[in-house]
Amino acid sequence: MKPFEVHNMTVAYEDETVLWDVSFSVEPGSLVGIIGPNGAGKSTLLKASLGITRPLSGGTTFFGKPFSKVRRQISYVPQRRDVDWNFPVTVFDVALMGRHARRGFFKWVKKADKAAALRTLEHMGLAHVSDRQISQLSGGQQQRLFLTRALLQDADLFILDEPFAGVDIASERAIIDTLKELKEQGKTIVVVHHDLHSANEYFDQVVLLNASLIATGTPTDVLTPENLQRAYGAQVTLFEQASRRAHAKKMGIEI
Amino acid sequence: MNPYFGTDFFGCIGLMFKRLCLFFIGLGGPLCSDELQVLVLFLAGITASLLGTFLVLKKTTMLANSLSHTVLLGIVTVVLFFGVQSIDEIQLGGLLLAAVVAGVLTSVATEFLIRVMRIQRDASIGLVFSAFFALGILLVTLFLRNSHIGVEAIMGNIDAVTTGDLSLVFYCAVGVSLFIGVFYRPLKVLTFDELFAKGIGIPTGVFRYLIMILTSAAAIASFRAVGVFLFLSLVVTPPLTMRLFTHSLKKILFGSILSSLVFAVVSVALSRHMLSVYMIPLSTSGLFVTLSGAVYLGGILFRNSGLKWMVKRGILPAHE
Amino acid sequence: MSMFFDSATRGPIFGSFLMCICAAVSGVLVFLRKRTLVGETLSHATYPGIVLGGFVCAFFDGLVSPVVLLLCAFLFSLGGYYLLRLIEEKGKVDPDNALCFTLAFSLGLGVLLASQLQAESPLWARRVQSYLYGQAVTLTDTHIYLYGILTAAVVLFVVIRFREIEVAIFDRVFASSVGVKLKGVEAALMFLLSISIVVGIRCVGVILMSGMLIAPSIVARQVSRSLGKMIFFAALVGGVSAALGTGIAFYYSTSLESGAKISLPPGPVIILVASLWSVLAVFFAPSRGLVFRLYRSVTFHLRCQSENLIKSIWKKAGNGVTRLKDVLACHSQQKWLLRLLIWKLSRDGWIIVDGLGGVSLTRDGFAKAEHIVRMHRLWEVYLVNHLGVSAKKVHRSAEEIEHILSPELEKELLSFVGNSTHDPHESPIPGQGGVL
Repeated sequence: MKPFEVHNMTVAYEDETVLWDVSFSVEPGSLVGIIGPNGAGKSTLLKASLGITRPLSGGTTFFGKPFSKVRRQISYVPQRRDVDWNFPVTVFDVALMGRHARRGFFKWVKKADKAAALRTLEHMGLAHVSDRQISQLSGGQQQRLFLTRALLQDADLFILDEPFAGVDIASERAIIDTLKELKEQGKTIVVVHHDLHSANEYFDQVVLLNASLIATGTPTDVLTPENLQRAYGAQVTLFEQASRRAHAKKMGIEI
Repeated sequence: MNPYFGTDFFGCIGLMFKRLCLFFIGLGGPLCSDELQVLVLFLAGITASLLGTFLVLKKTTMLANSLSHTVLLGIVTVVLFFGVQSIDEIQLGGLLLAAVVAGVLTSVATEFLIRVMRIQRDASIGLVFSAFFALGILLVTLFLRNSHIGVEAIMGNIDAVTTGDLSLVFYCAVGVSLFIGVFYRPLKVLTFDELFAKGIGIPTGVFRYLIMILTSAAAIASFRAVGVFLFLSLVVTPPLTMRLFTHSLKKILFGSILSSLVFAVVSVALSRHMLSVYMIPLSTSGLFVTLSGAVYLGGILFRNSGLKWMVKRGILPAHE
Repeated sequence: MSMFFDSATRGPIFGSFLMCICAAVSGVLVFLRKRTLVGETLSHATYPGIVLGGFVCAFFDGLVSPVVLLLCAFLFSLGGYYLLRLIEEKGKVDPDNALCFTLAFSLGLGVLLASQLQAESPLWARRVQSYLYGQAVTLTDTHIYLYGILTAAVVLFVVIRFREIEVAIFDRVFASSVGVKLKGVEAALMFLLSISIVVGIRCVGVILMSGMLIAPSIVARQVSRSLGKMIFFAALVGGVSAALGTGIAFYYSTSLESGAKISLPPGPVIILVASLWSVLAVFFAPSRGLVFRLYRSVTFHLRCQSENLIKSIWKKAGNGVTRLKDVLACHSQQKWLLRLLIWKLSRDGWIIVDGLGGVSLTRDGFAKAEHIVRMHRLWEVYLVNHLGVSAKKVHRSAEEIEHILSPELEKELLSFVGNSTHDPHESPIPGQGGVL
């Protein structure tokens, strides 16, 4: 049972990137990177898979089932910039949200949960700021906090959207080390990644995306000059422009 | 004869305290106008602050503004359909129905303009609430023969508040408190990080609609006391003020409720004082909004210097 | 119609006309800067100013009263803007929250002051209260002159500084590089807005002012995208709505059967008329209206069907004749629709239907069919070779894209795959340069 399998997914909106007929799957227990230029549809792919936006056609199955049936086994870490970091909440509280997600919101918080939260915070190097407001954290600390929350969800599949964007080197190291530890425990991790260079080093499997699937496989197989030219070269804009035009014509919008 | 007649500020507060204590034990007489005013203001304040905290943090206060205009149309619809003679006679069921009508109308019309017609967000919101409010006023003027509705909608008519109004506001306060109390954790998560909330299965859309309908209901219930526009002040000001002074969501919620009580008592007492001592009749709801707003502005202006002073004197720890 | 010249009614009608033009013009600028809700807030901020003005008027027994009220309202509107900035910057508050606070606080302050004014001078308190929803009914000729001058001033300013405003709105980067002071334009905009609000509130009132800022702009936007045209249309809509609205309010106020007079407040009627225009524009504006979009969408769909029919004929018989029945059998749409399209195609000169159940392409039709098939197959090559899509999946996309390629897109496509001879399914690609 593949933990993450995309079937013929097409997503098209006027403002959002187009994603066309994408299919790939991910092996259990691997660390996978989804790579592509900015605006290539990577975040769109995640959001459409998780039901946050609606795909035009196709979908994604998790362990063979639709997302809503296996939520508890999946931990989704959205992009940092979508969150209000001025919200009045402490580091510890955010971490604890992971446990609430796991147990449901209406149960009392047990001592064991609190202890687990503290332990994980310590593991991620955040124990000394656990009482602070999240507005006082640096970018790297914020990302590590998100990962802490995810860890506490105790999931089997982790999905992270650009976890290394705007993060200092030390935090990036800490995060990738934690992800590798998770892999050793048999978990599957899917990461939307923005940087080509580190992809080789970090991931077992790479999915190269630009509106459509360019290639998937090991980094050496996928990141060939030919594939990169396809992904980052100019040819894709034609596709995007044509798709936009087709969409506009169907909606009767004057071009 | 109103027992508060002629009392000054402190006298009023003292008398109120005594009479309300007796009332709640069961020994006191029927509530008179000043006490009703305090209770209504306080209860309306509870509802507004609780909802307002989440609205402010989610930055959807303009929605509350929009709703405060459309509720008039909701009220008119209910009144016309159920043949109620005047707005004063709305019962709880009617209130909820009007709230739902208003909420649904607002969001459907706004979303249509934004999504289908691709008109910019601020203009869509503004057009919808102006048009609906204008329509509401006209319908009320024409069919209910009430030409004062426009002014009442803004200022409320707190001097004429009845025990019927009190019960409406009370039910709203209870309802909203229960809602926030029960769903505190999911609300906290979805206000902080909506995508994560969606990912773990919190029905964010449902919550959004519920909050909207509760806000409409609260606005309608407060219609008479402070008017719907001043209700907006109750929604926005206490959370903003509390946010200046504390970083805990729970403290913001409780602090807002407490400040509603304080300002309610102070406004009524001050208004009574001005009447008794200086013969100046001031609007109680106007006092409430102006005082709470002034405190907030003062907080903004003097917060930094105030905090520095407190750190210097050792009252507050250095970090924070 | 005598309303327009009767001395009792012409004041309100012409006055409203002018005032709403002023509001609409500023409204367009604020609309394009996406700050219409600031307009709402500033208009609420004028209320305490008006009340204070009422105090002054009561004190001086009404000397130069309209000017005093306007001036106080104006000062408070500007004050409201600075309060907003203060809260946003010092309080670090989100703009929406700041707006809500300011508008509610202003209204509350106004109500407080008004209660005191009520005690001191009920006459002035009533006059001031009428600014909440507008009081166009009591406008006199003096007002026409006063508001006329203000409106003219605003319009003149916009006309004279048109270029700078246009650049500052549509191309800020270019603007600052050319030396247009963006901050200055912003300040001027707020100034203009405050004047327009002050002019407009006597007509539509403090509460509904934002409707008069927004509705004409929406109509204008549906009709045109150029700044000059937008301003013109907005002014037109604003003025006409005002005149119509006031007229309707008068007409219905005076003609109630039961004898009991209920006066319809003109402010809300004007706003409703303007909103109605917006709704009409949203649906029926040429080229952007919903109705036209629907029409275009349907005709596009039919065009695709027609082109598919031509393609079928080409595939079956090339230049020769084939049976109409066979062609129709390949398409799953309703038979009556297909027959209609066939009839239209023959009428337009793309195909020939002979009387014996056969159909063939004309020379033009043949060229067109070849062109479409060429685009289809080139697109497939592009997808396979340049995007790495598997050959099995490209057909569906090509079916869609073949109908929509514009000349520029075609050129771009040819630059990538122009010299291919076969598509991914080994079918030959028709040569280019067919006579169209």
